[in-house]
Amino acid sequence: MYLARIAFRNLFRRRGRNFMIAAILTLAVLIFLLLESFMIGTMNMSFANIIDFETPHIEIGRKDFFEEAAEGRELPIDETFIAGEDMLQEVRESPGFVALTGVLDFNADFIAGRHQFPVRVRAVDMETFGEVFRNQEYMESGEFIEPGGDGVVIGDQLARYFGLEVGDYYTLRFRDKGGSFNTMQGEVRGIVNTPHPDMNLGTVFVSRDKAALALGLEEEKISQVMVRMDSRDRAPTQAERLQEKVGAGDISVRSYRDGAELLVYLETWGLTETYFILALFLMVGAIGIISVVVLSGIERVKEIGMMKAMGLKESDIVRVFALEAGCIGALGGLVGCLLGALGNIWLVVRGIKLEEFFDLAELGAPVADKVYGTWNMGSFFLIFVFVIFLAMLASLLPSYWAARKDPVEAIRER
Amino acid sequence: MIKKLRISVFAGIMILLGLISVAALGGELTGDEIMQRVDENQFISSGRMEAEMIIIDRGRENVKEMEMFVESDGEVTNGLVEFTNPRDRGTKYLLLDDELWMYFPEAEDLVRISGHMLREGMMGSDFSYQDALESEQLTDLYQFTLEGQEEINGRPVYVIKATAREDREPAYHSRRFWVDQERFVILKEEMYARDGRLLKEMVAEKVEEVEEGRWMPTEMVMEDKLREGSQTIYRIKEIDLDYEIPEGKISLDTLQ
Repeated sequence: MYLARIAFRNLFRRRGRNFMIAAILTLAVLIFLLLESFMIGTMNMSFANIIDFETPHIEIGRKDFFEEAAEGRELPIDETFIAGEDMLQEVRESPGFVALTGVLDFNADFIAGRHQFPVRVRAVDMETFGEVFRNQEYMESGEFIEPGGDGVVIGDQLARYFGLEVGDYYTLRFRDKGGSFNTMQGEVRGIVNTPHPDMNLGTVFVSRDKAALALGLEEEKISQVMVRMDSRDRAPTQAERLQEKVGAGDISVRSYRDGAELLVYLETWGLTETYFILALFLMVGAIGIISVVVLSGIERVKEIGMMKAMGLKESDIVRVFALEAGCIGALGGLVGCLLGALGNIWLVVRGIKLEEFFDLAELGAPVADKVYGTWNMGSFFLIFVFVIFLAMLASLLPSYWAARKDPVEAIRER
Repeated sequence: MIKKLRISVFAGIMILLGLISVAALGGELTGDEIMQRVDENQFISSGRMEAEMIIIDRGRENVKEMEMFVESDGEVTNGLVEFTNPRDRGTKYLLLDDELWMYFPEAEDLVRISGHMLREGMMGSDFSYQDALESEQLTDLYQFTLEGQEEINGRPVYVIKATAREDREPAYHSRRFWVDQERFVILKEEMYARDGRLLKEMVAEKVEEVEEGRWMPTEMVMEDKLREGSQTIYRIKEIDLDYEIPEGKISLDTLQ
């Protein structure tokens, strides 16, 4: 307690220098907390958008279909399949199962007027599609597709590119099962505007029975069984379980993370970048603390000599310096956490518009609108403890240097 | 005497009828035979061409000039297209049987054209990359039916309907050709989707004798019928059908 009192009193003897080091640590903590909140918030929204609008928690399809899609090749129509009742029953019996639907994805050119644009056509079964995906909830105008109808639902960005409105005519040109060109044409039935940018530009929806007919496929053929679960956390383990149960032969079961490799990479990259920035600031802070202790050691040589003459051990003197550094760390960490919390309230409540900073959508993150931060109380606690620990650690070596001075030499100095 | 005369008259009639029927059979080529002649006429074993492509979109013209090298053994066709107009100079396309590659000089990048790119227009034209890839002879891909005879620009033509052979997978499920009856040159062609919708139309505007007795279209207009106001004129300015292509000219190594 006596040593702590000395350490605390020493803090105010060179308060300008000490507070500057504390300010650097504050900045490190603040930037880390806000960046982490932004990164995790962005990733949460991205994965939520993927699950709600593109690939739900689990998808089942043929291995070659997924491989060719991952390579950016034309989605292979000959890699479609009829989902057997055994497979569907096994999926329904999975813990956390909510709903499933079959979709038929293929590539086509969307043509209207003078323009054409390559799109992914998602042919859906209207009876079950809405139980798995939320696209229908984001209709901007018109209606979602009807079974057996010729209508197409397009995204608002595609509609703007073509200058299309509900009721305008479209043509889809694609290669059918035999490899020959075929077309589907009709009216734009609805325009959808989801928070997932890819779904607003590069994907169009048609009726599955109509598409199967035009592709020369049996009506029951699908490219993927899409499965919604009750939580994201459950998806990877259930995907693995289903792979063992129904993944015989060339059938592959994937979780939403398997299909979003780029996003998983972005998540890792983003967090690594955040930790790298934190490390840089903390390194500056640690160097500051080392110099503070060295300077204190030089300034207080006589005092150290007196302390040793009074019977304090080297370890006690080291403890004084370490406590002093720990206090600087605690101050920086505490203010950083407080400011971080204030900043995070703004991030969580107001959010930030991505286009004001950079184009995340272009990077591959499926987020179109504002990004909101997230609360991670564990990070607040961990960074606070870590900053104190680092400050004390950085002070150890110079403390030993100061503490090892000979008391007689030290008192005679000046 | 009368009997002798009767025999002579009968024999004469028979010979005349025979001659008429032989003449009729000789003139009535089948659709397959006509298209066989077209394939033979179009076949280039080794050639070099200088051509230009005028892409017309919403009234604006975009001219691409190119030098082309083609070699074929009847089964495998390889080709190289080098663009020579200032804007695209150095851009090259390489066709190696069923693979199509593109080289961008600015990026010094080689790209294999696949997936949805195959359906897109070559350099923004109405000729798709898929059209360029379909180098097989028409008779290998389709079976033909002679639908009738018409006239185009005063020239008699055969109208032939082509339907994909069951074991083949051509890009266009059916086509209709208007073939010059004397020169065996396609003067007009329509390409259809499986559902019968007209996708593209090609009209030969100019036909020239490129070597003795061999005629070829040297100016063609291609229209993508699904896109409004889109048209591409393809004009051959120079053609050498006996050109010896240097070894290794049409290869991935020389593309870069």
